[in-house]
Amino acid sequence: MSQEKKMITCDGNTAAANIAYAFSEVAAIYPITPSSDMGEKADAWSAAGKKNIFNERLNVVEMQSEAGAAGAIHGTLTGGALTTTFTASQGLLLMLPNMYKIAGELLPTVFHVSARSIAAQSLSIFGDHSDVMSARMTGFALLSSANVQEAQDLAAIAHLSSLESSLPFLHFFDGFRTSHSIQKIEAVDYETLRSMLNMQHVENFRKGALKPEDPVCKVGAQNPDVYFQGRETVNRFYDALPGIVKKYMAQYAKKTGRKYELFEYTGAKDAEKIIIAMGSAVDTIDETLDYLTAKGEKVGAIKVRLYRPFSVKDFIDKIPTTVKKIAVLDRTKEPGGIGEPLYLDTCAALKDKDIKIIGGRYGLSSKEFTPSMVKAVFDHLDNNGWHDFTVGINDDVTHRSIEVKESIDTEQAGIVCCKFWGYGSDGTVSANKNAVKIIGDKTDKYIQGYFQYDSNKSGGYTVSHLRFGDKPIKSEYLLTKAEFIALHRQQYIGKYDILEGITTGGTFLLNTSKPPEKVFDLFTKSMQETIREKEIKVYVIDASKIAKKVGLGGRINSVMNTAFFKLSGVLPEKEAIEMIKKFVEEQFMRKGREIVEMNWQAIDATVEAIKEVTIPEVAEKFAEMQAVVPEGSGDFAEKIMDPVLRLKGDDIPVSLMPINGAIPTGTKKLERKGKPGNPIKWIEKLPFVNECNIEDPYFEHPGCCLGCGETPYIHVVTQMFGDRMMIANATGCTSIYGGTFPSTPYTKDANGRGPAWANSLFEDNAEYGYGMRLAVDANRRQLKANVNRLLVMTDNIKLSKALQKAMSLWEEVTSEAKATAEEVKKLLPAAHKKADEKSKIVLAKIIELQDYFVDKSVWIFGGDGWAYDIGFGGLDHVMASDKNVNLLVLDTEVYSNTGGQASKATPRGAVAKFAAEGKKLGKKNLGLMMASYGNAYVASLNMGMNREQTAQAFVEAEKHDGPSLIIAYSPCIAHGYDMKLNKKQSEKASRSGYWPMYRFNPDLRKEGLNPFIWETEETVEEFNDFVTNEIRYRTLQRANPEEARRLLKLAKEDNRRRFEELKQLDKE
Amino acid sequence: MIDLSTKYMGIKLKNPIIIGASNLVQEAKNLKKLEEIGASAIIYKSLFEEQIQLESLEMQQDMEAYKDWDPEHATLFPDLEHAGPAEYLLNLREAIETVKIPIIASLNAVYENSWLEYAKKIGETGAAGLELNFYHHNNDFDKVPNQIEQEQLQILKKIKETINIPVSVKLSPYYTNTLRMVKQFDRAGADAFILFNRLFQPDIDIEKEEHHFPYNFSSRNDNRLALRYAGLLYKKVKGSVCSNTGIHSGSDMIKMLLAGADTVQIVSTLYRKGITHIATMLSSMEEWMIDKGYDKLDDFRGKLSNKNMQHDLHAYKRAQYVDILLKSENFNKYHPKDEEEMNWEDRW
Repeated sequence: MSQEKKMITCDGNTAAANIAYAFSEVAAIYPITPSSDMGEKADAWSAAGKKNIFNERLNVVEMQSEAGAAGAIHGTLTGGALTTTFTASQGLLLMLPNMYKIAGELLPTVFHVSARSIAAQSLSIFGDHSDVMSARMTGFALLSSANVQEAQDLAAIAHLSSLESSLPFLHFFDGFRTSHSIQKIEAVDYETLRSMLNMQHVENFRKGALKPEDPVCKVGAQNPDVYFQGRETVNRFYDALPGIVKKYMAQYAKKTGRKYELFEYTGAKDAEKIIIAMGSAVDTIDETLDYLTAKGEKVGAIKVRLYRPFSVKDFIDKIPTTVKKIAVLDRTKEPGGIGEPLYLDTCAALKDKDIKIIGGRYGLSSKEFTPSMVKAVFDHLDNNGWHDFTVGINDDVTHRSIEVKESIDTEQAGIVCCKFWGYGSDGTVSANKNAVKIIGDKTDKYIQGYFQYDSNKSGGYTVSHLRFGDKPIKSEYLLTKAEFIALHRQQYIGKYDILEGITTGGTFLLNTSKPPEKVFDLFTKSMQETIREKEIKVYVIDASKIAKKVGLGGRINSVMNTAFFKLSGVLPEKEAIEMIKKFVEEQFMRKGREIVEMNWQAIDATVEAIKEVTIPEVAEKFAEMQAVVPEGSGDFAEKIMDPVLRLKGDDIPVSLMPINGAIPTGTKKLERKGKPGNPIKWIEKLPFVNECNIEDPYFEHPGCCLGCGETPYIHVVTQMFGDRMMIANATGCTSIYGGTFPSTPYTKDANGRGPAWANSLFEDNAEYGYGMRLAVDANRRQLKANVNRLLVMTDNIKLSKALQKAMSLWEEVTSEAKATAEEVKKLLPAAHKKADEKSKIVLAKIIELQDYFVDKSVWIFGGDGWAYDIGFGGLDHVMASDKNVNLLVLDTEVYSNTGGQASKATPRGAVAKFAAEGKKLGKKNLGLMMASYGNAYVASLNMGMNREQTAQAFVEAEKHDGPSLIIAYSPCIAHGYDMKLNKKQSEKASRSGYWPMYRFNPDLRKEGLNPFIWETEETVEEFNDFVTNEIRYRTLQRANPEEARRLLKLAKEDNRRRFEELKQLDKE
Repeated sequence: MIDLSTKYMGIKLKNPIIIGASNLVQEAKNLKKLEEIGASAIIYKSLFEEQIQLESLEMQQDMEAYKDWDPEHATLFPDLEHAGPAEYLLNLREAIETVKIPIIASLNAVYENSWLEYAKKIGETGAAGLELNFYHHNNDFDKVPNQIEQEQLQILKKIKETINIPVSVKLSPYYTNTLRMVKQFDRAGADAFILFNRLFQPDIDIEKEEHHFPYNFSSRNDNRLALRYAGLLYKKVKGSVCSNTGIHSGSDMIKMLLAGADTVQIVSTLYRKGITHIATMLSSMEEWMIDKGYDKLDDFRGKLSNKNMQHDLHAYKRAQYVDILLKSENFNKYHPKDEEEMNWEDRW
């Protein structure tokens, strides 16, 4: 072993990105959860001047989509630059076409993938292997890491092997469970990596670069005569690959002491039953095996590392000869298949063996996979269990799930488990990340930090799961028990099962302003019983009061962190307090001594202020369980929403789940005691608004960030057209607050009508909405034809009259048209009953299509990431059509949902991820581009400046019989200012000449009028005043003032130029 | 022809009026106007390390305000560090490029290594000189005076070793023995002394019962200490002497020169009377010189200094103080009535 042990505390994304950085010259990326951090970290390192093993900075480029990133990678590899990327889920799917090309051309690269679910009945950002399994035919080698240590080590082995073998690698690890889990690992330094790289392989790669000095024609078309043979030329490379990977694994072990194998066996030498799996589950299985084999059970497991190419020999060699039964666990689902991929591979590999093999699914979308489930799988094998089972859910429909009967505790002795309940903005997660970092970096302890969050963007819960131990921690699942539980938000009592898993003699810390003697009364009866029965020590602290007192304002991080260090018992109290003080000093030294001292005071004050609660002999009072949905809200609310909102959604059986992902609307208000939102009444008074329902809202209580600048537009547009509105929604913030299970802010009016909402993907949203329009048009055409047919054959005068009226109002969307349609609908059943056989057929068709008498209002919602970047091609195509669709772009000028990456809507000079040195080029003038088609309606709105203009544009866009594009200025937390001021800042945006306001309405031409209506006031405020209010600009001024000044000068010029360009439209 | 030129820190100035460090000099248009009206040099607004620390803390808090809110964004902004004095240096460079008259930088740091680092960077900007603003806000009951003084001397020495532009010291009025301190600074190589630093001190609003920070303008009466020390230092130190506080008129400036100052710094009077007041002060001095028959400043500079007043035993001695107390009937001798100015002060 040449390298001295250096321990670091980091998450899986950081570990993998550090290696990718070392071996690469270019990274072409596109943000997607949970892989975004890897690209962001690489970009930040590059900006800070970090050098790779070739002593160069990595060039990180953000593309317009993953498809674009893959294309760029293919190009850089062809051009002879070592390239990497980071992606997941839909992103990986978008890369697939290029992956076949890259592999087919034998180009070495490594794609690091934080494996994530694929959108099917619904999107999920969480982890499973559905994405990587979709790439197994591409020709990429697939290498799987089980934990943060492996995410580093196998990343290195992937890069080294790829360069020698000329084959591309997909190195993957579980999204969130590994990518976001903070663990203590042994670091590998760049010198060691360099020592393992044979530069000859780099030279060979470079020799193959496309260049005119050595011209070739790469990849022409091949015909039936030769394509097949050409495809078979790669075989020997794949045959050689397992040997190459083994070689680097051995070399790596020699250098670092950490041994890896293509397939690794763990468990009893004479095992009769084994599990085969890959990813983070293998550590949990490993831990369970320690427990079971200690009891004498003949069980074992194979950890799969190199999944493609699948080396049958290496695989068979690892299976003990005593094995009789195998359960293969796949973290993916292939509906309709004989089994999932790893199962099929296992069957094929062991076809000549007398071993019973069954396959099962587990862990989709980060579903918990615990030792008890591992035990259940072995028990299932014992009982001659069936194939195609699932574990971890209750499938009460097709009965494929196996029961987890026994709850076992397999965690190593001595591990201290601590759980924290926090609130989205209270700093609990950040404080806990610090805590694991302090203990990981400054003691010999091993740590694990994993964090759960609510989907709501503001005010949601957070749960931090921390483990501390003296040996590496294998428990890759949430805490099932905890010695220490802290509740940072008292309001959760009675809603969540706060003390779940607390151990006997454990500690419970509550942050409350109540004095200790009144605290016991705050608990529910069940909590009080747990506290008594398990002899829990209860402590209280008023963190907000202390933070305020010592000048830390609302930031309670240091206070709660100190309380944890004092009470958790992870370290001796004195040592713990000294450690946290030292950490604070290091963290704030550059910010000044006073800040350090202020934090120290908070620490000392906290230690003093923690009070133990005396548990009364008899409790006179207790808190009632809170109702999370109102009583009598119906089955969906009570059987689905209630458990989900109490974080007990894991208990929901398959039978209760909607079969296609659809949920009822009008459900968000149930989270607010059934209180409906407020309708937008002011639109009624506008002269151009003819008729709309203003009694009921169609959009209420969205779970967006406080002060979100997008939702006001949605409020208004749904209020105007909600009763006949279909919405295609691009993935992003709008889809997360618009449609995260189990509730939606879209709601219905008194007649049961309201927006019908659907989300396909991120990139395809314009096309998705366009398709909806085609469907509506097709249905209306059919309806019209059938009505006309009926009118000539029916003798039902009443119905005929009603139908004729409906036909005369065919193009109208007025209340008269709606009332007529209702009138027709009322007459149809009786008419059908009385009709002759021939008319019956036509009437049945009319009844089938009766909802299409009044046209639908088709809307396409999405953010700037969709409209300007990934979905631009589709948007452009739809805008160039003649179809009546309305595209609403909620332009926050950044990828808000994935955490603030730059888009082509990001203005020059603003800081965003991948534009850390300020966006170098100006914002795309999307409005101008689309107006150039001549037929499209285009408006640029700023509701904070002028809400009437917003309403008018919605009316005109909806009326325009063709495509309409509305670009809506949407303040966002990513702009970085107090969102309470967003109206004022919006006004500044337009008054300073930044955000143009206009409407381009081609319909006006018919009246002989100029289609362009300029609505921007004269520039009356300084652009600098607008800019300095926002952190996205101010940050650059502080971090790189010279560049900020240069870019802002150009940005001002952009404003002027944009205005000039738009005014050209005025000259029509 | 009246010659108003003088030398300050080895730099030749066209007249003795230097514009002191203030917000006035931040904007290019003000700088140009100051030059146009007649300012001979400008002290650029101070670089305060504490301000950088505060900005850096604010920047971190701003960027982390939405940290760890939901699973998709653990952070909202890229990881960026505050660039320290970069913005100040940039502004300073721009100021230097804006005008032809000398721009002198001013610095107040907290840590010794920052004093040196920032001074070095300022030295590379093209600034004509550097003024060390040893603003020391004492709230430590245990710190020994000598320790504070030695720290300041140490900083000056090291800065002089590090940079090759002239370095001045803006003196605190609160040294136990200011003269000894000046002597030590002088030996350490200070190229000029500014009499004196005008310390910002918060006031208390008794209605709101909170601290507030009113404008800290000087009044005419504030110039006596500078006047006295200008007289005491004349020809006693190698460094130039610049009087700083309470200089509101041509006559105030003349007094400082009579006492022995080489230059004066003005700020408050420009806030009150506008930038054009520089011209008024210069022309009133010219008129006075014509009246008195002086052609150049050296004709009368230091005429009333301690060195040149050896015939008057009371002039710069403690007895001067006793004299004032005993001869209160001669009050007007030391407090000449200037109705117009007095009324103006009251109005303010």
